[in-house]
Amino acid sequence: MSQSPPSRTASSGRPNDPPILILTSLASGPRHGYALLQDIEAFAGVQLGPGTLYGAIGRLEQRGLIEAVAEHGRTRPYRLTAAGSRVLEAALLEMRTIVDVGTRRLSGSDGAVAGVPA
Amino acid sequence: MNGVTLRLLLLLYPRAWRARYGQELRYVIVRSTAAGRSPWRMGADVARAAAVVRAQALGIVGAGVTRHDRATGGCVLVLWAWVAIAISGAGLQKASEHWQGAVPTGDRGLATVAFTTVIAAAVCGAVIVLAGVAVTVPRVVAMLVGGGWSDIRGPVRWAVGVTVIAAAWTLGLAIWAHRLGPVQRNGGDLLYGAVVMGWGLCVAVTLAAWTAVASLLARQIGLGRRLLVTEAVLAAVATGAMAVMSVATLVWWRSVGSVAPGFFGGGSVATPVTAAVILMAVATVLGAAGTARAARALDLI
Repeated sequence: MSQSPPSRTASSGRPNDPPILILTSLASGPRHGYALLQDIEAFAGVQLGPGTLYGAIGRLEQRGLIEAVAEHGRTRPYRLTAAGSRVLEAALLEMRTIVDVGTRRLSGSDGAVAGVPA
Repeated sequence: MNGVTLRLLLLLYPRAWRARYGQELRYVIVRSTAAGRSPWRMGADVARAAAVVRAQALGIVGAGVTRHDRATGGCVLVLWAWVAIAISGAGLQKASEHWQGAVPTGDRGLATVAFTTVIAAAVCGAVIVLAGVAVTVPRVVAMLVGGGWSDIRGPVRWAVGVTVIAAAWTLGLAIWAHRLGPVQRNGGDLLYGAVVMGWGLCVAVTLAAWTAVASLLARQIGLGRRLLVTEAVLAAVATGAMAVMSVATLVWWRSVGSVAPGFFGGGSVATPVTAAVILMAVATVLGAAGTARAARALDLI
């Protein structure tokens, strides 16, 4: 079976890329910065630094993929926008494709010979 | 992490970024510190992230900016690369000032050609960079007349401040040097050597401060496509000059090292020359990256 590679989207990245982790965390509801750090560490085992976290938040907000909701004391929660949801879906689909191909190849059901596409 | 360190770390970010995210970032750092996370690792992470935010704000890195910003950022990166190579060139000049005395007259041929090439390329590059600055002057004047002074007032004041300090330092150093003998001036007086190093650092900070002002201006004045193409071409030539300087320095280094290995025997020459060569190579790579970024943004390549 031959499979054309999925086109790479603006969301493309590794599963542990900060923007993907942040979008994934916000998929279950709004969170502020520190809650994002805790959630990401809990579900991905990745300890993001505060600078990395806010660098990614700034870029995601600039691209309209997340937005701030009303300030809550000294914190400001963020939530996923519709565009952010679409980008996250595309990124997860891309990762799932890789996971599926890898799993099939490991189990030997893909029929591909090493180095030669099936 | 204590309050002073925290404040200093936040100052690494651009003011607009601090106004938007500073309070939140501070809260996360304080909570993370209380949770036992390493302040050193957090400090390094914040410093690195601040450098990225600043580079993005200048259009030097990142794809999420306009073509115009990427082209401007590429040219600005070349300007920073030039400052780095100018500093390294000055260090090389100082460290190598007595090399002719260490090399027999008959063996100086290649080294002399290489050293002259370094100086010639430096002069050419400086002229090109000044030309790049000069073509933007009418736009800068128009921006200032149009009320743009308030946007650059802070960085200009800072640059003027460090310039005054550098000038005073230079004057004091010149007076002191006049009272010392050649041996004391060339490594014999440790205190003098330390003050000279401090002076070099002060001059480097002054250059960096004015380059930061130029970078800010480049973003504010909004160069049109024609001017940007001119700047990109000048940036390419300046990068070529940097490459020539780097290669010629390596040739000079190797040539002198092969006929007078003793010249680089002491750390007082070998260390600064090595540092200068490394900085030159880094500057040339940065210059090439900046030129490529500007040229790609303008569809020149």
